[in-house]
Amino acid sequence: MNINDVKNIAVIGAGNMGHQIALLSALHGYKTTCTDVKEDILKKAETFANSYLPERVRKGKLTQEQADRARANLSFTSNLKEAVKDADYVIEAVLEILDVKRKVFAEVDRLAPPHAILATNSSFIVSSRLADVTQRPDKVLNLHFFNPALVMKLVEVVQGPHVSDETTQISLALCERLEKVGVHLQKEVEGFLLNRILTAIAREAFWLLEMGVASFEDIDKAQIYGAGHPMGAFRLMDLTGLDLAYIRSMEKFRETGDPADLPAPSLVERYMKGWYGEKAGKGWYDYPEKK
Amino acid sequence: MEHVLVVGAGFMGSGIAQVCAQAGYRVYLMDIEPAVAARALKDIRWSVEKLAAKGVLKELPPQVLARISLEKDLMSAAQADWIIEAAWEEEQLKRDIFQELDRMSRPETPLATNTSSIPITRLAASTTRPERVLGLHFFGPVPLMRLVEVVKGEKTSPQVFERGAAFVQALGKTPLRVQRDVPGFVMNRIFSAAFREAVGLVEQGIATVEDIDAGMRLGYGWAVGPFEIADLAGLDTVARVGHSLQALGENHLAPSSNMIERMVAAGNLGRKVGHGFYHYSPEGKRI
Repeated sequence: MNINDVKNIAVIGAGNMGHQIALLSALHGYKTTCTDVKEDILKKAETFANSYLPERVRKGKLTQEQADRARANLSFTSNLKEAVKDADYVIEAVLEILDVKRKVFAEVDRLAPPHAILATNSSFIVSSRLADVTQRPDKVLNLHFFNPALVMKLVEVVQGPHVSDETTQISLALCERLEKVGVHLQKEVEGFLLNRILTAIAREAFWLLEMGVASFEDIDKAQIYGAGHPMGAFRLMDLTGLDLAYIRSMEKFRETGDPADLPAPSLVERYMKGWYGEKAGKGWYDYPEKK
Repeated sequence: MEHVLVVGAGFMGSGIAQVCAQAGYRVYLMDIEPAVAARALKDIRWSVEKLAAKGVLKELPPQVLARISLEKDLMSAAQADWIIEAAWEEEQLKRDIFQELDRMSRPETPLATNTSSIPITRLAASTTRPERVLGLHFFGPVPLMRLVEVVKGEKTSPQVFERGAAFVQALGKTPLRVQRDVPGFVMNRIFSAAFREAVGLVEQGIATVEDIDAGMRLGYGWAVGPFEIADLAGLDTVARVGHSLQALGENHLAPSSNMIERMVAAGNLGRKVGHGFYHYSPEGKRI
């Protein structure tokens, strides 16, 4: 199989990431089916597509014809079998819960054509934890888009030990067809590429804060004005959620038993107070309008 | 008009002198090498003219340049309201300069160092006024970089520390208050943590240099990727930062492999020599 054999794409999960990945795929000429177990989420995804496309035409970013073609390429169904039965490439973007994903992969493996590649958009569940529920481990990999998928140019393509070169090459070529930049991870490592680097920074940022070297505001400023980052570690944590940061640290600690992996005291304190970040109206910074 | 003495007219010293002059200070730029000082003045003229052409200079270039005078010795220390040392990054040399400055300047004058790797507290110890010694760590090219680390030594007084931050603001820059004299301050620690991870990813064959840089730019919106920064800074500089962190006991921040050492030994120092992680044209453009 090669990239030219990929004509039909199925996107499973129409939430935060899925609905944009589906639209991206339809915009680039792929017959795309988007599916979700929840009717309301599916409806929302369809409504988004129906308002996004005319908006792009109004802004002069798309011609009417391009928009019409994209819309015609895109269909929505709550029936998983319907969604994947003709798929050449499946992108899973359901909840980041291992058991849920394993169930989805087992089912899709049964319902999709044998040649189809099954990719997960997971940002941290590696595909080797999913591949074993399928009959085609060589065709199961991580294809990690960034949020919002229609805008962000990067995709991490993670080649675990079970993934064939053909699957990887087709996936990298697909990124190109979708006008994305695919980066190839030749091994499967925790956090892939970007999160490993960000985690290293966050660890150092916490040390600087806990040691009283600098305030979190100043550390964020250092990253923005000194290093050219769009935001600092603490502001980023407010966006992704302090609850997530806390839970991940605790999970890591349970795994390693290394006290260095425990969440920093300043994070524990905020977590206990329910200061989960922007969504809670307060995290490191205050967001009065979100309360 | 307040007077600033900048000691050392290299890449950093000349940049610091320039931004001080642009902010309206009367600047003495001192270097023992006349050739270095002359070159600095040439660089400053080129830079202010470029800024003027871009329309970001508040005055005409000659007005800025008129506020800078070149000095061969430290005699002007007595007139200075601020003294910033930007000499070669060598501890004994800096200690000697601080001792001299302590003797020659008015007792109330704050003495700042632009060091990136020597603890402020150690330099302060060679003066009789450790409470007035602080770090003002600029980043190069100084006229373009917006951040300055204001570093508090063990004995730096809160008043002098805050005056340092206000001075940085008067230069039109953003102060980053570093409240404790830790190795690498804030910026080099954060850069080193990210760079160590990035080097590890390459050395373990997980991803390529190009992919990691593209990843950080496109995925997280960084202006430049970690290896691109290293090429810009110079790999000899990056190696020196790693060594100084190691020398101060911060092994966990230094690269976990000798990749940078190998590249430095091979002469792949980055953009300034035309090749490092990437290749560059004589004009400094990536090829």
